[in-house]
Amino acid sequence: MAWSRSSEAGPERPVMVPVELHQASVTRSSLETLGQATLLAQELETSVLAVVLGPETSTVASTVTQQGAQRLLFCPSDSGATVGAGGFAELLAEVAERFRPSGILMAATPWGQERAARLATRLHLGLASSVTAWNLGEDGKLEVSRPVYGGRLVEQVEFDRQEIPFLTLRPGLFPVAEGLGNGRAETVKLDLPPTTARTASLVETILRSENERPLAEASVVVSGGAGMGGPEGFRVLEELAEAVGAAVGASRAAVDSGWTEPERQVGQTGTVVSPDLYIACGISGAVQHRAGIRTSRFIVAINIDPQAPIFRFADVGIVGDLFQVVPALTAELKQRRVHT
Amino acid sequence: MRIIVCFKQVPDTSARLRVEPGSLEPHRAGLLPVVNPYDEFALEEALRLRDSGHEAEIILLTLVTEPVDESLFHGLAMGADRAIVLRLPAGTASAPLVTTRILAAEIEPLRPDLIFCGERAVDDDAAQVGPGLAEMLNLPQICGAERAEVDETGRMIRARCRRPSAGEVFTSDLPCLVSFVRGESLPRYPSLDDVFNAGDKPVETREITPADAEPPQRVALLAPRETRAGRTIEGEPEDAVEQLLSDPDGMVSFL
Amino acid sequence: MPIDFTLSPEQKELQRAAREFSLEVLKPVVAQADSCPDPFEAFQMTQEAYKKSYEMGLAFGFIPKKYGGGGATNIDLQIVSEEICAVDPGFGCTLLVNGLGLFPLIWWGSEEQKMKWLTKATSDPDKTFIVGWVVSEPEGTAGFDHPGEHPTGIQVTADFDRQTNEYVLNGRKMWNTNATGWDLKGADLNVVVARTDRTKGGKEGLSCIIVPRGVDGFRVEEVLDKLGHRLTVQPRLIFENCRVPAENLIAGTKDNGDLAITRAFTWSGPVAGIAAVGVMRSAFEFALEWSNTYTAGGQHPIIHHQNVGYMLANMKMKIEAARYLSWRAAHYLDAFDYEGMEAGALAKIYGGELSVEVINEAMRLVGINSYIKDYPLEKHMRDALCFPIYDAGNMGMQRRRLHGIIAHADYNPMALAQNLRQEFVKAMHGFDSDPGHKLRIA
Repeated sequence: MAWSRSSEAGPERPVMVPVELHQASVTRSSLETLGQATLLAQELETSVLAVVLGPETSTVASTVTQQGAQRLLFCPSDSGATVGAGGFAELLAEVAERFRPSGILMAATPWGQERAARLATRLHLGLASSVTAWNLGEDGKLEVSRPVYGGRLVEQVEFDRQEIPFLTLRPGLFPVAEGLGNGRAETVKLDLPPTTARTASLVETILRSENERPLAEASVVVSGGAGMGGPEGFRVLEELAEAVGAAVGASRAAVDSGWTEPERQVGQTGTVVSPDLYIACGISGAVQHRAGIRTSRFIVAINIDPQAPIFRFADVGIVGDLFQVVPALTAELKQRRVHT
Repeated sequence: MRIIVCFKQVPDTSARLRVEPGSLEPHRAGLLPVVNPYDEFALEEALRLRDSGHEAEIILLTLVTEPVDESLFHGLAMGADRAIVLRLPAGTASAPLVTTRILAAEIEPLRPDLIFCGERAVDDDAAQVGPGLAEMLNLPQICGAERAEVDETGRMIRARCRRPSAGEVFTSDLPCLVSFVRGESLPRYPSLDDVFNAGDKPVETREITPADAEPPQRVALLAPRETRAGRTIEGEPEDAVEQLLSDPDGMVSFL
Repeated sequence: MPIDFTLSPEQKELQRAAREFSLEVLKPVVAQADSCPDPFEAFQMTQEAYKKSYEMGLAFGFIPKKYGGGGATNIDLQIVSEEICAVDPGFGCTLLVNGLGLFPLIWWGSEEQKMKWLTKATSDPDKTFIVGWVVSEPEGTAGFDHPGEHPTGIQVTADFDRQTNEYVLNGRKMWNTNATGWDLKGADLNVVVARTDRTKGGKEGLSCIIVPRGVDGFRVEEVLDKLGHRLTVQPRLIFENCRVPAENLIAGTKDNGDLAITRAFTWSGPVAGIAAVGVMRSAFEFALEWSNTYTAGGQHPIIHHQNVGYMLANMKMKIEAARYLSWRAAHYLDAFDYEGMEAGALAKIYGGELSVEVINEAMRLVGINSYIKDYPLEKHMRDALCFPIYDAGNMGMQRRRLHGIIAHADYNPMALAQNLRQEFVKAMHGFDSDPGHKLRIA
């Protein structure tokens, strides 16, 4: 690439964070990413440049500065929605040409991953995706951890001193802190040519049911497996999920049997989750499922089979009929909520 | 219509993986290779497109460092028409950027109408080659698709994609790249006839010279701790629930 | 190094497809069907899986391509059958008997008969076409070659009516897998071995007759309620003046029904052998997983104990030996166009009897916990107990045939080892059924 890291460090070589918007606000995962970018920028002794594909709004500006961005660039002429990944790569490559960032961070959401991959290719930068931990060594090497083999193993990769790290961060893992920024950020103006990249058009958004919380960033997940015995089994889980504000997940077995939607699948070929609490009901605990829940902070398993592998990978387990245990748990939790 | 399906072979996705101390690769002995499940989803969608009435030539394309006969066979048995195997010397790694460049060079002269691939491969889990190919070949991309349909003119594709809070439907002119996640239909089982016919389908193999490594570089591979305390509670449901919730450091502290 | 135990790419793919089918389509119905108290309902629960297997070409894979089948070899069937039977041998039996019923037609039918009936089997739009093999009777099958005239041995008669050019069947059959069809009204095709000449003994008086679904005079009397293999159906049947056109008699089987029986059960020998291997394999995998995780209240898994290791080793030896004997028998059948009576019998006996031993060992290794329905070994044992006594029982038919072969003047003990053909003659059905057999002690 045209520039490398170690040559002129300083505030002119910011850590760049293309920010994701959802319904005109900054997504939580982008806030997490900005927070990490601020920490990295501090260690690199530089600043954070947040790039928003969209019109300048004060709410976005203030949110982003609270996370530590010192400079904001809005690209109002092409809003993110119409530009597509190809256009995104074009625009951000232009920005990168001008600012020559010392690093690029994005959230590893579907939106972020597909754009990061395209941009990294365009800039010919190495990309580490779905990063779960990072560390800047004294030698200037950036070491980064990320899950591989479907989550069964973790690799540590290193960007050398002069290499520009491009990372996407696992959503839901890093904290959103307050007050990282000093509240004053400079808005940068930049004239960007219109994009020529060919793009797909978003023609329809299918909202999921209101009660359906998204899995990827949920802090509590309640999941059902082969033990559900059928689609009706999931109702019991949905009641528990409602009681604790959890997202509902499923093992591949339950999805393959047609008992619940594929969007709920947790595991190697589904969603990888990092909740604070994961409750596995009637799930035996196959390797592929475990890979998807490994970074959960606390795992509870409920299964009628005392030999189910899941019990060895849970923090605590209940051996019993989930159709009795789960309703009892729901009832007890509802009662406690009433009292607190 | 010409559809190229990018195909990768990965270690058995249902196996527990071990890493010998100091090794940068998982221990391979006894590990069966399988087709990357996401690539199987992509191939299934290509086959469904053809089943729905579009005449299509479906070509498997793969970059390998080891024998891939079985995976390739499976793809051909499922219904692909032919395969192109690009072979790197055994033991050479190929970073996503490098893979992308090699595949793009191979794909360009073939002028496909569609490029289908899995959203990620269950080995490096990078999810980069798809968008990377779209960038290098200057194509529109639709990522994370569960289902794709091409209209009667054969010039436009419509794909429903999975997103965290909603489904999103995209359309695009052809040529286009689409990456797939698990869809509604499970990849088909080849029939006996399919299996016996697969051996006759053309497979073209080409040797590729390895390129330089690209950052970042793997410096360690770890098998994270999987087993946990595993304390089990038995007894009547109400009692079990009582026990579960009475531990102040247990489940309740995470609610 | 000519002997090659490696699977070809086609065979690996077959194995993979069969394994995925068995785990993803068949397995979900097994527990429920196995525990269903009504044996016919249990069978009906397998229909969706059967349709899928039909779609995949597994239900009639053995039929030559010319008639719409898969043209699979016996070795190909070994690979597929082991995977299916590792999940449930009852379902495997359903597919097995399609072969038992149709092979006599493939071997001895006229070209018109083959074209007519085989293509029907391979082109069913409902994908439910099923074939019954109707040989066994309440008095057993083992006496099929009894030299006495009717009523001895096979006692269902098929009398030729010259005026209507029909055969009229009368009598009772029992244990005829698939014969009920999916609705108790009959399999699409039942291939019946009946006595066409009442005056001659079993070696000359039997023939195979095709009884299609819907003919009058055929009825299911009862569906048998079995200890294991509960996903497959075996009924008692009654033929009462059941009339079929004379052309339904499978041409080359006239007076050679005995050969049809022996040759069919020779073909199924390796299949039954590998079915037993599949069940043993599942039991072994469970016992191994158990040994690696169960601590019996101690500080480490029981596999640390020598006895457990030795038992697992014993089991493994038997499984591998049975598998390769079955493969060898299948290979021999492929090499000699199904003329492999010794090989088929050896494979069938060995796999089946070892499976009972091996599962018993697995149960003793796991201990009393294996005795409850929470764990799979009790089902494996119930299924395995069938192997020595079904599909031509090991005593009455398989060993009897081996005795007949081994005692015959033309027997070559090295034929299998040297891959040489051994011609089978009727005298070899059994030592005791043929007057003048070699080595008769005066």
